[in-house]
Amino acid sequence: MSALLRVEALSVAFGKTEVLDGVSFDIAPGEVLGIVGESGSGKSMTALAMMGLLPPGGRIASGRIVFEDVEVSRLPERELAKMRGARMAMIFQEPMASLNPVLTVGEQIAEVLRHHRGMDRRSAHNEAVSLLKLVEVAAAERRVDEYPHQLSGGMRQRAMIAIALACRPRLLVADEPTTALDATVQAGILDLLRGLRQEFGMAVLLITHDLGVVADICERVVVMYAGRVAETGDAGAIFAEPGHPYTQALLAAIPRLEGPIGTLPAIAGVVPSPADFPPGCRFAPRCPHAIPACEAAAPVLRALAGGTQAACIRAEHAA
Amino acid sequence: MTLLVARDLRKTFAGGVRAVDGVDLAIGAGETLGLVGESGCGKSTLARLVLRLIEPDGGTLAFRGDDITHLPERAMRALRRDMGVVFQDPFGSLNPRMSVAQLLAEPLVVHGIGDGASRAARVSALLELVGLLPEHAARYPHEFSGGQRQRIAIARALATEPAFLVCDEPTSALDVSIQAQVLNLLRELQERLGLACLFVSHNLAAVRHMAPRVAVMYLGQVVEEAPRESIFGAPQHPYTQALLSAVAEPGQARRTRIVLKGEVPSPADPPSGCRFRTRCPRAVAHCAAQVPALVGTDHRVACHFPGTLD
Repeated sequence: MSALLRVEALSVAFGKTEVLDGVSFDIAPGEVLGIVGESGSGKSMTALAMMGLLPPGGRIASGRIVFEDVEVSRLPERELAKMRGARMAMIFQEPMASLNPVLTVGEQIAEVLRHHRGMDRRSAHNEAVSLLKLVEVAAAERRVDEYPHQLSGGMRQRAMIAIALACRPRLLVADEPTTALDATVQAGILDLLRGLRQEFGMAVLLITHDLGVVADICERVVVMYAGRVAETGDAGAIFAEPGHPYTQALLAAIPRLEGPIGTLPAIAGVVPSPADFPPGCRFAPRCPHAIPACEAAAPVLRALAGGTQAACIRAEHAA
Repeated sequence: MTLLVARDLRKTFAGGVRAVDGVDLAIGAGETLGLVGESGCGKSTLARLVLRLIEPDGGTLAFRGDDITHLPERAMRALRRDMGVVFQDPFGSLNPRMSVAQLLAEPLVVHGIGDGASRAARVSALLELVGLLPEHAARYPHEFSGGQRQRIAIARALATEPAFLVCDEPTSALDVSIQAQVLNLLRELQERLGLACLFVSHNLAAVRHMAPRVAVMYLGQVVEEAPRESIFGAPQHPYTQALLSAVAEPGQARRTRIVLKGEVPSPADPPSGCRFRTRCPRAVAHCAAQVPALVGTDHRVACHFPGTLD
C-alpha cells in the first residue's frame, strides 16, 4: 500500500540552529499515527513543516515531504494554500486562539466551504449545521449562530474539528487537540476522532506530549527527542517492549492509577534546547545506559527484537 | 490536633458565580489531602480561601485551633509564615528582577527572621533542600528551565519553615520527565519536614501518588472524600467513577468509559437538589428535589444512590 504521507530525512533550521534533524516517518491512508515528545522535541515543528506553516525564519534545510505523491515541501505557496484545508487540515491545542472571535461558528465553517467547495451562502450554512451535528455538538441549529466565547472548551474544539472536516481531508493533523481540556471532555473528543476516522477513512496525525492519549487512539507511534526520532513502532510494541532508554524512562516516569506508590523513576537533567544539543546521541547525557561511544555519533534507527525501531546503540543492554 | 479546619466555606464571585459553595475539610498536622476536579469546579478558589488569599463569604476557617475566618490582615500576615504556597506557573510567581538568593531571602526579610548572615545560610540550605546548586543563588529566574523554576518556587514557599503547604497544580505545566522529579521532591519534603499539604490537581494519577486522602469536587462542592485506596479502588460517587473512567493510561486496556451527558452547568445557576443530577446516569426525580448531604465517616459521599460499579 502506498503511503498517504511520507516525511523523508526532514531537517528544519532557524538560521544555523537545527531544530529537526533527519526525521522520517510515513502515514498510510486511514491510519492514526501519534508523534509523542516533550517540549523541544520538535513534534509541533514537524507538523508545521508538513503544512507549510513554519514560523518566520524557519526553513526546510534538507529532506522532503511527500503527500499523495506530490512533494509539498517544494510547492509554491499558492498551490500549498489550495491543498491546505482541502486535502490536509490541522487543528491546534487552543481552539479559542484559532477561532475568530467576531464571527459565528457557522460563518467560520461556511467560509471554508465557500472558499474550497464553492458553495453559496445558503447551502454553506446548511452544511455547517450538518458538520456540527457530525461532530456531535448538541443543538447544532442554535450553536451554528453562536460566537466562540459562548461555547465551552470542548465545544470549541468540536467546532474546530468541524471546520477541519469541511472539505473531507485525507489527513487531519491534530496538535495537542485535548491538552487544554478536562479528562472527561478529552475522552469525548478522542472518541469523536476515532469515529470520524472510521466513517471517512481519514488518516490522523496526532501530536501530543501525553502517552495516555497515544495509547488511547494511535495505532503507530513516533517518539521524538531533541529534534530526532528516538523510536518508532506499533503502539502495542512501544508500550509493551519499548527499546529506547528514553521511551522506557518516559513510560516509567508517569504516575499511574494502579500499582505501587513511591518514588517515581524520574529522568535526571533537563531536555536540551536546540542551541546546545549534545553531540552524538542527544539523550546520552541523561541516559543511565550511555557509554562513551554514544557521544561519538548520532545513532540510526534499527529494528529491535521487541518489534520497534530505535535509534540507540545500547538498546540490548537497556532491555 | 487538626491543623486546618474549614466548615461550610463559601465564596461567590461577581455575577453570582458560586465558586465554592459549602465545603468542609480538615487537614491534620503532617497530613496531605488531595483535591481533584475539572476546570471550574472551584478547587483553586478553595485553595486560595484556606490561605485567605481571598476572603470567604461564609463559613469558618480554623488554623491550629484558632478561628482565622476574620483575622485582621496584619495578624494574618504573621500567620502566613506558617503557610506556604506553590502555584502552577513558576514563571508567573517569581519576580524576574530578583536573583534566586533574593527570592528565597525575601520571605525571611518580610517576617523579620534572622539577620543577613543567617539568611544567607538559610538560602544555601534551601537550595540544597530542593536539589539546586549553591551557584544558582546569583542567577535570575529566566536562566532556569521550568522544572528548576518550580524547585525555586518550592524553596521559596518553604523558606519560613511552614507547617502547611498548598500546591495548586504544581506540575501541570511541566514535561512528564520533569513532573516526576518535582513530585518526588514534594513527597520527600513532606516526609522529611512533616509538612501538611493541600495538593490540588486535575491529574488523578498525580494526586493518587501524593495524597493518602482525596476529596473530589464538582461545581463548588465536595462530592466524595475518602482514603486513597477507596477513592481509586472503590469510588462510590458516579462523578468520581466517570472521572476515573476517562483517564487514558499507556499500556493499560482502555477502561469502559462512563460518558457524561451534556456540559457542566453554570456555577451561577446550579441545578436544584444534587448538582450532578443533570449529567448523572443514576439520576431520578428525587435527585432534583433534595440536596444529598456528604455523609459517612472515613469514606464520605454526597449521593442519594451511592455505590460501586459492578
